[in-house]
Amino acid sequence: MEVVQSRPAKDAATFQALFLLGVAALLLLGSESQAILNLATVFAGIILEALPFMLLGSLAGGIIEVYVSRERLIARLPKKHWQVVLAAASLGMLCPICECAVVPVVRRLLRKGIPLPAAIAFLLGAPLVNPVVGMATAVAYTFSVKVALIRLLAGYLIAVSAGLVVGWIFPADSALVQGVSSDHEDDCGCGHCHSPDHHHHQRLRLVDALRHASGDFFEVGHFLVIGAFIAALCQTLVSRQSFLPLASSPLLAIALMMLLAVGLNICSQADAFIAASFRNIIPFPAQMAFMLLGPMLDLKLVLMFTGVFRKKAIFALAVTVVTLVFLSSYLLNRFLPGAHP
Amino acid sequence: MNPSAFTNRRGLYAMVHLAWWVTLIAFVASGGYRDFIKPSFVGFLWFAIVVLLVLGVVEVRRLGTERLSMEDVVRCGILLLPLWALFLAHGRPLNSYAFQKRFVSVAGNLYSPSNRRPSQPTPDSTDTSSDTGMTVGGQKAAQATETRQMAAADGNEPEPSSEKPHAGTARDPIPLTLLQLLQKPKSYVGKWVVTEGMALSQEGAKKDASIRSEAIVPGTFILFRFLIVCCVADGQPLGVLVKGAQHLTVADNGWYRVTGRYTLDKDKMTMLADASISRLPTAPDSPYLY
Repeated sequence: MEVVQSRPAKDAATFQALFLLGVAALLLLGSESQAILNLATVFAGIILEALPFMLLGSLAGGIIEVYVSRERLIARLPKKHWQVVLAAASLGMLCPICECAVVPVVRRLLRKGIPLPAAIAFLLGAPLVNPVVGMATAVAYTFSVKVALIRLLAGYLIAVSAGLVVGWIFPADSALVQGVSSDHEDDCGCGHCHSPDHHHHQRLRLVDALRHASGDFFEVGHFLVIGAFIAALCQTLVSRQSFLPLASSPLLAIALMMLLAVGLNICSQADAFIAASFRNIIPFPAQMAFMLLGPMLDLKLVLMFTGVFRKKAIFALAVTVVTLVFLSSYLLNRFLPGAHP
Repeated sequence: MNPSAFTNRRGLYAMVHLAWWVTLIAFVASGGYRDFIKPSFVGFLWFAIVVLLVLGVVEVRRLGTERLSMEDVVRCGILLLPLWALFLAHGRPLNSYAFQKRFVSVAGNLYSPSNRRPSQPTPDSTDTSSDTGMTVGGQKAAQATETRQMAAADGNEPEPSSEKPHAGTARDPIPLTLLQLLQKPKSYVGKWVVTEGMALSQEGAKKDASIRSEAIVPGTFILFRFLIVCCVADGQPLGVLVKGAQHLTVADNGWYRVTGRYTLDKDKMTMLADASISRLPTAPDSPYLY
């Protein structure tokens, strides 16, 4: 049967084809240019660092798909949505997971019927509200537990709030792309039935899980590549020095550091060290804005989100997260003693 | 492989897995991955190698079930782009181009931290900038790197010997990485040290408006390296000005060993004075500091 593509799907396919040709031409023609070599180094570095975690997330997603029964999962969730959201945002404390790995996991959880607000709270919270990030932040700020706690607490509150807000804007599955909605659980395209009753052999179930993992790798992986390339482009073209003259106002500094966080796409385990390197240059709330926004919303993540959410939902999510991060950084600037000179 | 695999979606997917698998094996075996990520991350790459092999085998078992579409071809092409970038950038680590883009100075003055705005403490007020060194960007040499300093041996420069302390004289300079030097600058003021790094000449620095300082005069250059936490994307520039008794000529992005007297003047200008330099024939195994 011939599959008829929708207009957005055709647009996406055209964009991807143009991206492929454009990047290939750039790498081919500019192989001796310092800027292109720097771009290639950063691009490859981001992918090399993210790939294992992306694969880990795909494996986890495959296992969820095959081994987790939707009915059982739904039955075990708290009855009230807000309770699920509160729990989901803190799951990273139990299973630390980075932003590259969390997207495939969330994709599968949504197919299993996890409520959208809880999925978003997990998506935003897990890469930030976890012990590894807390420890890295404390170390980056000369073993300051207080800075780490501020980051984790603010991150948790933002993840919960964003989950509730986006869940309120988009009821049920209207925020999800086709195939991710829980209505399509039995139509994942793998050609196998996933009812646990049909899996008589553990080996077959494992193979199924691996098939799904491979599918996720291709579904989400190419978005990771596109996002990583755009991030590398930002790192290559944008001079960090050019930000400083604009950072004299605390609020402008917050906005600029948020822009930097979106553009640089630095791993949540490492971004605190970058933020700390700005300690004597920009106010602390702006550094915190950088640390809060990066793990939740950067260029590569936005691209990866397109494999899960519709454009309007990504837009709403982005606006919500940006607003919440700005607001929390502003409050930090306003009320926290010692947060500015 | 069966030729029909090339027109089969699963066959193409298996080939992408295989291409990644072979590339990762090659980069891990040759150590080439160190041009991009921290050496201690190699365990994660081994994990990826195993997973890619398993997923590739799973895709091969599904051959012949699905037709290939143009969308699949584009998607796989995109997933192969990083491999191209890996081979293109292999042996070409971050250099003076990245240094100038990432470098941050204050008030447009490279070496005058006294011109900076007042120190802005964190809620803990743990700022100790007066005791720690400045990178060439006027930043502190990452107070947070105490733990990473323990792993500084990842860079293959000689560590200070615990058996026989170096005198810190011109004849017996202290071997240090730039990170060690900039973390505890006051410990080395007035002493002779030897360190290694990439060079950015005065002419090269002039090309970029990011680096502006009256201190960078003809015959001087900046010796720099990058400090990495995870991968090159988070690399932070570290550097010192090098000034010789005579006019020094260096090639941009060349690797040099520099012996000089460390000075930190009233403006905390970090400099290796009276320096002598020698060009290193090859880059270090690990071009970055960790």
